[in-house]
Amino acid sequence: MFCLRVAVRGTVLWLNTGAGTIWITRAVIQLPGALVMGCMDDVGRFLAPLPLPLAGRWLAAMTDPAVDHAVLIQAVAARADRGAFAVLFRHFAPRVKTLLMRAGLDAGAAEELAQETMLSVWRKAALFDPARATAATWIFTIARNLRIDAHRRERHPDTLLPDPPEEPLGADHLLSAGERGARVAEAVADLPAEQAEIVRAAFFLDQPHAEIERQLGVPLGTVKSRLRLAMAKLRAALEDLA
Amino acid sequence: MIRHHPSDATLTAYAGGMLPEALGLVVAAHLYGCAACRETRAMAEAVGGAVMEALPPTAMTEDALALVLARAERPMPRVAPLSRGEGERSLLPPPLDACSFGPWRRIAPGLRFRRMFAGERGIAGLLEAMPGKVLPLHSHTGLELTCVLGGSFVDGADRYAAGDLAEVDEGQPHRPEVDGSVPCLCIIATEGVRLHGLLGVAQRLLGG
Repeated sequence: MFCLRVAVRGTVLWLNTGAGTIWITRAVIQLPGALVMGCMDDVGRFLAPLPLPLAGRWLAAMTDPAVDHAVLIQAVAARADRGAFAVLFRHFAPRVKTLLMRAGLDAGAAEELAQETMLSVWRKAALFDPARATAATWIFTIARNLRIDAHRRERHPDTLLPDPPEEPLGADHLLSAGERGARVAEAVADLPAEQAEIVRAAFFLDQPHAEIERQLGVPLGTVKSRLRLAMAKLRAALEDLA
Repeated sequence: MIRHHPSDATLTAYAGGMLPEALGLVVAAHLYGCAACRETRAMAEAVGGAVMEALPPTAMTEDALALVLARAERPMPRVAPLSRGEGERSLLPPPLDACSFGPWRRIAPGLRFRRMFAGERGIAGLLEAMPGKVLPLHSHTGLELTCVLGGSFVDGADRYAAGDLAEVDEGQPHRPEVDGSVPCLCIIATEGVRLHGLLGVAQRLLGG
């Protein structure tokens, strides 16, 4: 078993095995500023550099992190790949934890639910459909559903509520989820500050309608109109691509 | 043909998991029949993924990965089958199949209500109104969402038929009237602790 390793001046990029598994590595010794790709054995010894054309192709495939994470989830599904899972865990678990803390959970509860989320990623990996969502979006929805479930169990232990429904994809899903995800992320970053604030609040503030009004001091009508403007921009960004 | 949809604010809150559960039931009922809103929800979820991806990481505990991998080795716990309610099954969209129901209660002449859910942040249930029934002019605290499951009603200049969702903001007085010759069955939810609107009447009558 061997792995490929990529690093720029000690900044770790990605690592890709011949079997399609991608790892994140520790730094490699190299010339300042140089990019080195090569093979590594199981214990991390650098074996041999990779020919440049091949290295270029690997690198191109690695510049789209959303695609890479999707491949990792598929590796978990296909062969219970613990290495792939470890990479997913290191990337997503700390971000899920931040998200849950912003949504009002204390650090302990957020840690627990973030672990729970990653356990679901392991168990449900076969259900992940890269045509439907990026890895980040899929993991976000898992964390969201677990947060709702935990909240429910706490307050209404005997109430049964359905999971959000899964419907077939519409014919208008022409864009790959990776492209859509990248475009949405870009469009969100481009929003005017006042709109971006309202959009983010929808994911962080419990009971957003009343809470946004209170915390941001913006009247409900303005909240709704800003969000409508923001969503119109995101829709337009996606239509450009279609 | 669905003509009335939830606002982007409501759909985004739903996609973000921040809409009170009672209101979420009504949105789920609408989404089942509305491809356009499912598309908006998918986009809002993509925004959620992007927002999460851009967050600064918070360190997990040292042994978190090992703990999760150890748990992953164990077989998945079996999930108990859902206990089923009875009643309006055939009219309910599948997302609401798993809900349990209270009994039908008459809350006014020509008007009955069946509770599906009540929490500290809202109440949801089925509301059935007889043809020609006019609800008294009312307003409420918090958001009120209504999704029509059968029949139709008119509110001001708008007509709401099966699949349509009516979103009424806090303090916005309205006066829905059932048109047509069949009863109008809706799933309705209001947020807020103290309910002043139509469901407030139900809440008080039911001792909620």
